[in-house]
Amino acid sequence: MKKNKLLLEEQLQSFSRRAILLGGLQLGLLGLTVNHLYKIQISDGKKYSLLSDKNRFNFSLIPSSRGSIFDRQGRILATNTGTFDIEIVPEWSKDIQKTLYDLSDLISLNEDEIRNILNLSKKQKKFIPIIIKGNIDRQTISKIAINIPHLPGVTIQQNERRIFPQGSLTVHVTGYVGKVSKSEQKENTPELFLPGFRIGKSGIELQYDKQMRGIPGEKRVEVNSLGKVIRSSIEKKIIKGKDFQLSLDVQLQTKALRRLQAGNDKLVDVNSTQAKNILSSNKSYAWQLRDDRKYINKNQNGDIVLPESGSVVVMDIHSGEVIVSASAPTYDPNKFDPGISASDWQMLSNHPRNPLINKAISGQYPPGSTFKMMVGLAALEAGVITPKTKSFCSGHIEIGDMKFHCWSKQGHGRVGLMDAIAQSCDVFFYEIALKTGINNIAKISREFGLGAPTGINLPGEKGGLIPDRDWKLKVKQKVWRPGETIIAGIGQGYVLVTPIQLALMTARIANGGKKIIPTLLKPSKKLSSNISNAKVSKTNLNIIKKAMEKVTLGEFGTGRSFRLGIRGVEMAGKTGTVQVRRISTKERESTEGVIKNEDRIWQWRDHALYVGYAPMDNPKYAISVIVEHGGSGSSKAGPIARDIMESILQNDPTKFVPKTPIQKPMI
Amino acid sequence: MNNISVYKKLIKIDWLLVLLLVTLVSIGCLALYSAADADWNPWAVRHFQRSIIGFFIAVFIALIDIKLIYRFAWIPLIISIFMLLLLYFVSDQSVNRWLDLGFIKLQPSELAKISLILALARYFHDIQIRDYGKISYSIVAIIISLPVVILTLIQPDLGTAVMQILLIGSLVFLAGLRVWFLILFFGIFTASLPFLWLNLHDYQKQRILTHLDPSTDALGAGYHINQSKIALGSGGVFGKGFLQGSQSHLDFLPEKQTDFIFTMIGEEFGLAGSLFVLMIFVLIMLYTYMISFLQSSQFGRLVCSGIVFMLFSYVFVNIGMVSGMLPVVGAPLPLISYGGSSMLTIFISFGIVLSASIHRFDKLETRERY
Repeated sequence: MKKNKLLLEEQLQSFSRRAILLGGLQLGLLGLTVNHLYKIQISDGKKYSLLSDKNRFNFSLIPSSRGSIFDRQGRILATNTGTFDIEIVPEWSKDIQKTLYDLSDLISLNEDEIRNILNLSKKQKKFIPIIIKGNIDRQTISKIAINIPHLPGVTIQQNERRIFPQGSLTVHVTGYVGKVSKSEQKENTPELFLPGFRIGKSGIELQYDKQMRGIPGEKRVEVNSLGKVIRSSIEKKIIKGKDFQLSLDVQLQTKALRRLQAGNDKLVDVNSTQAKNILSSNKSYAWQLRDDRKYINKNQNGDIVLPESGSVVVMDIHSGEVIVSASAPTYDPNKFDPGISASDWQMLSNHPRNPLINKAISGQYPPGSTFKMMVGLAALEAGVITPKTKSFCSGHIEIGDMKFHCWSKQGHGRVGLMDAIAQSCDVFFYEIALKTGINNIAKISREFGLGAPTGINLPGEKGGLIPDRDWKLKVKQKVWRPGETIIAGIGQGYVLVTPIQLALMTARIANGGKKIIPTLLKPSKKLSSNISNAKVSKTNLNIIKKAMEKVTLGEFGTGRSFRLGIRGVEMAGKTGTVQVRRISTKERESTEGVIKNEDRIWQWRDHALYVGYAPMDNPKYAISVIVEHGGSGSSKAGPIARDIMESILQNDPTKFVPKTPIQKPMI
Repeated sequence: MNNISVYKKLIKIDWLLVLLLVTLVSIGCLALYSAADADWNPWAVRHFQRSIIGFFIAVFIALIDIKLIYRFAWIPLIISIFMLLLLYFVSDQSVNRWLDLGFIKLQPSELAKISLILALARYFHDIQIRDYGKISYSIVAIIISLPVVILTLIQPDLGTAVMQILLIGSLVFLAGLRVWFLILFFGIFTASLPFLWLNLHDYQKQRILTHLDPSTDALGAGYHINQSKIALGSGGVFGKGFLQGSQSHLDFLPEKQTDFIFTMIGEEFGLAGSLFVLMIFVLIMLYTYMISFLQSSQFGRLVCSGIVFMLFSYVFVNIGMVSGMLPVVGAPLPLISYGGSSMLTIFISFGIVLSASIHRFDKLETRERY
């Protein structure tokens, strides 16, 4: 028993030893655990906190509303509208194809569109939504909304779309918006990466893009492990894009554009039988009418012709505010969002009359006779002539071994500067240009805004070209020749101007040489009193103004046939007819004489130009009209300018009263 | 000593130990309330109800004479093996751990742990004192336990099987096994690992591989571990506050009411909370060890220390798993995790501990037939 007790003691001791050993092991392991917990919760706590927040929160941008564009009367030119888009998130749909086919029962979806979506879903990440169809009407949306449970992956998204209520009327000024391209995404602004974000691509939309975009807000979204939004909070409020009010007057712009397009043609309602026949037989013509005009042009011979193309610019001569800036043909910017079809784009960009170009600032034309004011002024300034200097025009002049023709075959006889401008005698200007020299002419032209971009607040402005000796040497690597000065004297040859430059030139003549800068914004920057003056003498400038008045009032003035129909108000101006192709000696001497403008193909016809300002005795507005290949300035461009100027003056707050009730134009 | 009244026994119960267990259950209820997004339903209420039943089971067992427990110590093992066999034959799924008894769903492999402790304690108790440490007896002990381990392994429930093996090992060790045999035991265990590996299910292999490098498969098997570590780590010192655990409440944390409940506590109460929970467990273990040392019978000693080891293995494997120290094997945190089987096992176990404590001076007659 004693031995047994001893053994029991031993047993207890053995157990105790081993239990303590095992207990120690357990404590040791728990110690390791504590150490590990310390490492995770304290040492790496920061790291895991960050990871936890990253899990928990998604920051998302709330795109700000793009600023609107208004005209000077507050009419909307560009704004946003909410649209419903149907999107599909491939990740959420087990069988996209089936879902899309099911959806095609509710909205029109053709095989091609389905195939495109399927292809896209294979290319990009599965959680990025794909727009199935944009701009869905409310009724269809509610139909889809009811069926959403049966359309896995389909979501209805409310997006903003840019609309231009004026359609094609002001597109060249407002410009349009479009998707952000890959190269534009390089900018360090996160909103550019939002799907569906639009940025300005041209016009005011591009010029003031950053300001119009505003600053996007930031939303902190708390999500669960499935990505479901639990709650969201606004972290940064959106700053709405800035609105812009333009100096443009849409009503006058409409009038100007339609009048320009009408030219001297009769207008036929598109719904008339004749028009319908033409449109169905001539697809190209039908397409070119897609600038939402309701009329087609019928010329004097009764043929259906394309509407005239060209540009009209009207400017306030004191402030430089551009009231009308029309360019034809035009196009509808609403077609650019959500996207223009490839064929439409082809048509637009390959169109021979360049609808995409804002001809008012980017169209470069020889100024023709409208340049004669600059040549005359340069001659007066250089002192090579006085207002009394006379010259004899026999219809042509021979200088050296070259023969230069006046537009009038019979000639103008003895003419001075005033008559030479009023009757647009070429020979007089050949002579004085040669005497004045190209560098003097160039210097004066530049003072009046030619030869360089005017600085109007629009992108893509062209500078035109005022040549001089240095330019020729530098660019052409050739010496300037006197013959080139002669043809520059009538605004041909190398000389190129834009319609906005012509309007600016006219405005600076009319305002007494104040070097205003054209602007499209209203209110334009406060008229600074320190607008510099062109370096010309007032007397000489007044002589030029008098000559421009004589264009309208003179017995043989080229503008006598299109005087304003407003009591006591006249428009001073200058016509221009720009020869586009060279008339060969053979043609000139043939029995038929020079081929008539109307008989040439369109591209070879003369440009018709007119510049002017009104009212004559207290000028307020300057206008420039150019009708591309439109014929003569006095028969085509002048009457257009007259009609537009009449509308403008009637619209002016100071109310110019018409002499007789003005015939309401058909447009 | 034999015939003390029930009333006296009730007084003699180690109410401090009971208090510690109740503390764990309370923590469990609060954690489950949080896990259900501030709702007592569905888990906290049931957890509480189960714990009440468990409590009465424990007190009932505590009142049973340790001699009776000793006498019938083989019975639970036989029942366990029977239930495991039943599960094996009844089951038609690839993984089946639960036996549906109609009124309760049990995990026989959990209950088998306490059965093993009782059976082995009884076996080692009965051995002649001079035979202690003889290898043949240890081998017999292992053979006795083998059916349970194998049946658990083929369920398959690797985690529980490994815990059972360690439990058997610890009991054999405590009973006085020669140290060199212990080395051999673990040698065989290690050698059998490749064999085990081949017999593992793919998801088990994946779990182990994932454990070795959780970041390889961030959204797959490694996801759980990563999210669990993020939750724990983001808790910091004092945590995000009760009900404020973003990882748990936004469902980044898997199984937050069962195996990963410790993570949620760690997220909401930080290291302080984790250590508090751990401390309670350590106190229970120390207390039970103390009871174990006070036992006058080898049976009582082995049972109590075996239960400590069982509790330890639960806690260590669970916390080790959720903190990324050990592979994800699926071990609950006793009395805190939602789940009936482990709670029942723990309450039965501590009922026995309490009984052993009350009857610690009782001499158990060694059957001399060995």
